[in-house]
Amino acid sequence: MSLGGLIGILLATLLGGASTFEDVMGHQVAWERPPQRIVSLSPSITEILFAIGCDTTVVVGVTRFCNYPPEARTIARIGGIVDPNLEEIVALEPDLVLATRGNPIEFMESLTRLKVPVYALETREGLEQVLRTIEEIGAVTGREGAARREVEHLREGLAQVRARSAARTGPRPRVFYGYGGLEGPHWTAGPGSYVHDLITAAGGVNVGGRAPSAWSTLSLETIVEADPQVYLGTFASEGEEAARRRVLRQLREHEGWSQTALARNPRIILFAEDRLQRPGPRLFSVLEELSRALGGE
Amino acid sequence: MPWEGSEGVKADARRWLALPLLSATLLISVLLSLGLGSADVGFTDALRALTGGEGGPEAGIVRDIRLPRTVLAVLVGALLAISGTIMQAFFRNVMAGPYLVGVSSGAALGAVLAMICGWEVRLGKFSTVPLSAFVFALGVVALVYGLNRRRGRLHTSGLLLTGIAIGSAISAVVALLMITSERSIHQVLFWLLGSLSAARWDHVEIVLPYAGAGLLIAFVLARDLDLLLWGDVTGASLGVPVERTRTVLLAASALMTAAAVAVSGVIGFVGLMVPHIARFLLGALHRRLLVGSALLGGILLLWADILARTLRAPTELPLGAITAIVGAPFLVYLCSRARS
Repeated sequence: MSLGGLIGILLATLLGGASTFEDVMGHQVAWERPPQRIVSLSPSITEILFAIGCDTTVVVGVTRFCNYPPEARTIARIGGIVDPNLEEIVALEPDLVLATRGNPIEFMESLTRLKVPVYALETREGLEQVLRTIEEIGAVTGREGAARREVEHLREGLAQVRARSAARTGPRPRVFYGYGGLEGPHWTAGPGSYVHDLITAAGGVNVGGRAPSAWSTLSLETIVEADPQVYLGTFASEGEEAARRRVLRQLREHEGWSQTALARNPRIILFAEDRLQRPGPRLFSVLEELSRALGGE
Repeated sequence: MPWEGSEGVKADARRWLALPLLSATLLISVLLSLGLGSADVGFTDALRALTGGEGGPEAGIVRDIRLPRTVLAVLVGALLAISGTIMQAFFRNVMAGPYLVGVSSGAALGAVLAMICGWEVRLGKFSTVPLSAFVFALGVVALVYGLNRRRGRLHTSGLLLTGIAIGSAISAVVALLMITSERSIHQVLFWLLGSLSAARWDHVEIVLPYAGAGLLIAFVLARDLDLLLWGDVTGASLGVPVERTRTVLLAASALMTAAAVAVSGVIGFVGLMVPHIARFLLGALHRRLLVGSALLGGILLLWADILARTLRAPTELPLGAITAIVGAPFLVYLCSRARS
């Protein structure tokens, strides 16, 4: 950052009670008035922005994957997550661009060079990190109060689910989360991922807990050895019923899977892909439903 | 070039001896493979599962997960190696491999389309992704072949160039599909690097007939392959029906490779490398070379897969990455030894 910029921030801080923020990558953002034109480079950020009270007048640019809340579809598209369009963003004259892991780092640097304020967020870790990200977005967008209320609300739900799980007696169901179905390679969510946290909080034992990292493949024999009872997965445009039929068929056909408790008594819990795969506020409604499903309600 | 040198009687005997040795190595490797893996199931469990015994969960893991995967690794390795050997003779080029005429790029396009579009098609033992990969692989080879067949003659150099050109164009389309896809591309990436993590008996049943037929055709045409190395004119003057033989060889190679790629993804390097090692051990006469290549390909891919599933257990590594990392230095070493 230039000397002039630094002095500017210092002056602004001394004179006008302006706020400055620094993200995990060292980008700095300073404003006297909360940002009025925000561009989101990821669907989870878009969802968080709307959850803390931003609307389509403030969120002026989103990715082509941002489909929630529904009004996000009406906002200008700035490209994808790995291929955002520099010109589109600059043309929107944003006073804040919120980026996340998965957006190209060089792209964030290009924005910084063009004096577009960029703030990058870590969004891929556990459930706690999702809550921290909501607070962080609240702070950098000047909506701290709304963010705090949202986080409190989500925390209450989390505490209720945990209490319900703790009150349950009997062995906890063993859950396998299949990121991409039952056919190999078997991608799953390991310790440190929010899916792992969801399964654990909802009262299940995550089979992927054996994996060495948050997102990892697990060999089929390890999965079969763990003997999962519940399959947690997602469905996309094909719809829930088609996805369920596919899982059932794969369970029946594959000799390896067919020996698991899951194949003998299939318990299949499916969520829409965008609900389960986005580290945003909707994970907590997923948690609520998952908890009920695992509890047999 | 590592083609045949002078072939003395002693060298010939040694070369025939290599075949039983390779067979024994393969057998031992298969047994080891059944006792190795991320689950806590060892050799004694594996032996008990194979010899019948009671059907506990350990037996299930050996019989239904490790055994099909082991058999599939051997078959896919053998198919790629036979196909590579045929292609190297076909093009009279040591750089040739099974993917040269567009099989891998076609298969990749088919697989990626199936994964990204979420198709659901089935045909016999074929599930969606293998079926789509198989069909597209053969489609691209047919296209490359058709573009290079003029007035009953096949243009070999044209085949190479068209294969490379169409392959590049399709790879670009695959990359575009991956970038613009709204679906997860983890699966696609693993597929493009090759993996046997989805192995099951259905897949074994898919490739088995191709392995059998391919081996048979290669064996019947082994002498023609030897003669093709001298060039089409010499081959024709020695009684090889050159055009027909070439077409049959190309079709056989494409079918074998397409079947292998359909169930395992694009496993690099085996088809290119194994023929060279086999020639080093067995000489260049194709009857022996093809059998040796098949055995060696099976051994090599089996060990690559054992490494893929045990090195970082319980997670898996992409198989194609291992074949290339282990294979490339070995090939370089062989070349330097052959030179000195």
